[in-house]
Amino acid sequence: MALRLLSRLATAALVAVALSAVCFGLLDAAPGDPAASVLEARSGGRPATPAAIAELRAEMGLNDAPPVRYRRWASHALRGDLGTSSMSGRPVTATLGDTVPWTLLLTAAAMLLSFTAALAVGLVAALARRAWLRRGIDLVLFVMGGMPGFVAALLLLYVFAAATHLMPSGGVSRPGEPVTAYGLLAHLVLPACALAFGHHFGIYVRLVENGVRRVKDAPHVENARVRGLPGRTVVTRHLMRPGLVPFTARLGAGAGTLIAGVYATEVIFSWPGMGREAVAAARAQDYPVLTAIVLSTGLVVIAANLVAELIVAALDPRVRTGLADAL
Amino acid sequence: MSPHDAARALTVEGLTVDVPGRRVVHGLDLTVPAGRILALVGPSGSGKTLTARAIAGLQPHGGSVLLDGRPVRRGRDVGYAFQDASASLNPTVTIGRHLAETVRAHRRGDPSAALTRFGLDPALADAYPFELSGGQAQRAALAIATVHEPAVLIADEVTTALDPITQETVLDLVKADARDRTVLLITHDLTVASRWADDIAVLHAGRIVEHGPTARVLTDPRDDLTRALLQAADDTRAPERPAHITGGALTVRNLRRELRARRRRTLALDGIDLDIAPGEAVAIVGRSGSGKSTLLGALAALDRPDGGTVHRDGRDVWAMPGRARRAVRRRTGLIFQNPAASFDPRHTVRQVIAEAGPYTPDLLRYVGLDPAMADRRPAGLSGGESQRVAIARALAQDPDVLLADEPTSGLDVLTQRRVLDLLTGLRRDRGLTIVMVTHDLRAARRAADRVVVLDQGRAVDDLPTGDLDEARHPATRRLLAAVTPHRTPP
Repeated sequence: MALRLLSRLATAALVAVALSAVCFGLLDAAPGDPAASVLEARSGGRPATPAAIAELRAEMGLNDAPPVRYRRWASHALRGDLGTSSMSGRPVTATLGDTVPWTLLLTAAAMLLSFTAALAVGLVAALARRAWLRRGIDLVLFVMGGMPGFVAALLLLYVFAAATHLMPSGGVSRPGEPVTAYGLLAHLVLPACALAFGHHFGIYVRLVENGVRRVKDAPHVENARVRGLPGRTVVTRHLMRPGLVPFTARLGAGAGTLIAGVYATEVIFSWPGMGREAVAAARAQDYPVLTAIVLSTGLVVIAANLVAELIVAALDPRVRTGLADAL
Repeated sequence: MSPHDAARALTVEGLTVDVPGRRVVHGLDLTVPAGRILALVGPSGSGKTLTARAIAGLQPHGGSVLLDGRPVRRGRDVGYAFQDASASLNPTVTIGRHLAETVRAHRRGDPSAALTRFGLDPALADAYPFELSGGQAQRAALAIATVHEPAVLIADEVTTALDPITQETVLDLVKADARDRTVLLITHDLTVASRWADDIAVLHAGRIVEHGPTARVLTDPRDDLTRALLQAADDTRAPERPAHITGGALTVRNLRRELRARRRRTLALDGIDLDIAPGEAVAIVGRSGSGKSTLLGALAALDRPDGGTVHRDGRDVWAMPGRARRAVRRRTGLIFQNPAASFDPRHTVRQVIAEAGPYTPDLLRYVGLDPAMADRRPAGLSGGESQRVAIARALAQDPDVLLADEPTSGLDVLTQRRVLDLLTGLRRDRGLTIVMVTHDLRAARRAADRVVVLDQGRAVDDLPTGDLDEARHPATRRLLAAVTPHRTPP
């Protein structure tokens, strides 16, 4: 098992390296000359002379071959130096440090909400005897499936904040007040719901429902019943464990979809996370910040996929032996 | 039998089972004393399995099921072993966990002892169901069904999918286990019942038509169905030879095929030489894993061997251009073990047949089906009907060679006989060459002129069907011994 884990970790590392190369490429291809911007910033806005620019370019190593520059950039990045924001002049890592925790909080809350709700609704849909209950779930999922995430977000905002004032409309605390645990939770509810119950939510419900329904009448479930096992064991071990494999296999990709939704959600709810920062950076053509955000988003998705794969392997021994053979 | 033992019995009184729309089991009465094996025998659809399920509490029913005079407790008193053992076990949980959860639910039983009782190494507790062979899985399922020492064990067609030698091992273990249990052996095969059961009850359309000690039922059957079942079991008429021969010839020289599954390598065929003349009917028999199906794939020009040659009518099929090889495949009819799985469920019977060649109503008539069936979907067909449709499909492409992989396993004896009659009639009328893979020696005797015995990828015996009983090779003798009924003299 340790060996399999290592091989998966190695693959993940390889993907991360490829991702960083793409990010570097993006940064490199971005319009504008970093040396010129630096000189401009130093001199307070006056355009620099071509000679000064050329001198600084040589000093910064910008004339080296791309692989050399990539190696230098990557080694800096590993040491926590992703350059400086061309907009604010602050180190990019400082900007990330301010924004990433908020985004992680929001996505973690949304994931927890989305996946547990999908599990619960999917199980009800698979096991409910009442037809109206199943049809009701179908209808709601159908409507949700047709609604883009930002529409859901605006709808939630309108119903719970603008029209009824039940919930705060945005930010992480009331203007001018410090962040408190209770206040944070209240501010978290709407954006987390908007992110969790986007159009992809129905897919997870279906994966749970179909997976469980397929094993519901399987001989091994009947066998578990005829052996007089307690109902709880039958459901958790014999129904859910094999039935949830398709759902858990999709969790990794699901985390990616969810994180992609974070940009619109953070803007709509003024959430001080990296999604909102990324939108601002894109407007200001602040490429160092934008690249760093793309890179960290990608790393989070890679990590989520790895975790999901390990969960599947823990659930299904057939996948474990498959992993061993893949080596 | 002491009075104490007499009290320990499974008693079924007035058992009725309904499925939506009709009654399938009509007031069944049955008493099985402890320590005895009762075989519940009958063709498909006679209500055997529904009766067994009702006794186990898996099926709503009328009437009463009593153990020692009190109602059976579901999950506690009846252990149930299913037909398809590996499907009846949770693929994500080890054998040991299956045993332990049953022991915990009833607070009695010993997992290691249960495995040992069924001839398995207790270390197998760490294995997952999909890591076991068919015979091991069935024995593990029996151990799991009996680990909490239920008074009754129901074995529902537990050996239908197993080769005769594995079947013998499994049923001998069930019999040994029956010393302190009541065993209900559900089977369609009187040969199985005659060898392993103390009593036989014959079920027909939900009613018991005959019930008595095994020896009496076998020597003095009182019902027509029992007689028909006995006849089907004993019927070893040699097949008729064709009047004119149109079939193709198959020649195989030094055939080798290695199967690579994951990191395991198995030599499935290890230097096979075989000549099959036009119009000949050859049965390839052997245990599971002896290479039978791999050989059939090679004969069909579907599976490319690693060494050796396959000749069809004198031409090497792997040396000819792809177009010619596809023409050879079109002249080869294939019949599979599980015909229903080889049909597209969205197709009608007509479409299923038409995918092989032009559909005509005569095809269905020839295989003994009503042409009105053409517009039905395969899901509604019985096992025997599905196999007939599969044969009709094979005939639609007008083949000169018919290859059949276990065409009768999973069918009851009466249906088996009808399918075999159809195959022999086909050869007689059309002069086709037929190669049939089977682990059932009875089917081989019934439909083939010649029997080739495979053992670990080698052809160890090749003799006319009539000489089968004089075969010398230990592998052949072992197969023969496993299906010989041990009849107690009346």
